[in-house]
Amino acid sequence: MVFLRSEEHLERWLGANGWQRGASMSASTLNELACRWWSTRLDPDWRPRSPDESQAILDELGLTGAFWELVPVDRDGADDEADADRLER
Amino acid sequence: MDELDLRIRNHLYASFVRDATAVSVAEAADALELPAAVVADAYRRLHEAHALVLESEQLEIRMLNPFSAVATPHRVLAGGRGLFANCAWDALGIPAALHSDAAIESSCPDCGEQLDLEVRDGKLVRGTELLVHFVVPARRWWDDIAFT
Repeated sequence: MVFLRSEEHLERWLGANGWQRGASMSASTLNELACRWWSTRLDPDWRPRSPDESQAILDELGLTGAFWELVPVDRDGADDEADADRLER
Repeated sequence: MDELDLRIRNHLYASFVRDATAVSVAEAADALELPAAVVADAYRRLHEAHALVLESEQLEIRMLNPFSAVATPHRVLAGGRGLFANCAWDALGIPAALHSDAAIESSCPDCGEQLDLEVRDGKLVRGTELLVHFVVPARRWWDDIAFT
């Protein structure tokens, strides 16, 4: 995840590397996400978040859709258990 | 994550925040009065749990997210300390974790120019015009966390 000067710089950087566009947001939005994501990291009673708790933080900022799914959602209704325990960041 | 691993994990974070350097297995074992083999096993479990990131095949800490134990293009000045972050998100995560104001120096990967950001009282007050891009979708973040 990188900071870029502008949309023009982003497009040029993606093209130079042959990468598809992933997801972008303003630095201000990322700061809101960072505050929610990292603010308890040094608490003495810190515990790992569950995937659902982490997903809820993303949801609160409108970061929804397939790109932001921490655990791939089985469209038949069951989560992929193999991915469920490798999500804490 | 059991209480032993949490105790070791908390020691690693506290030491890093105090000294801006990651402690070795031997140093953590001495400080916590635990056998080095016990601490080494805990390092491996914490790595597997994504509570820290070790250099591949070694027991040296590379990341205590949001902190980086190695120099990166994302430098954060917070609480009188110079720290490195793993990425843009982590750069803003350091003031959030420290509950501190911060000045962040990064660079645009397109043009290479320095980018300056500032967080004050939890708000981004400089660099608000900048963009952030995520190449890797969330479910793949840990496939290669250094690239992510």
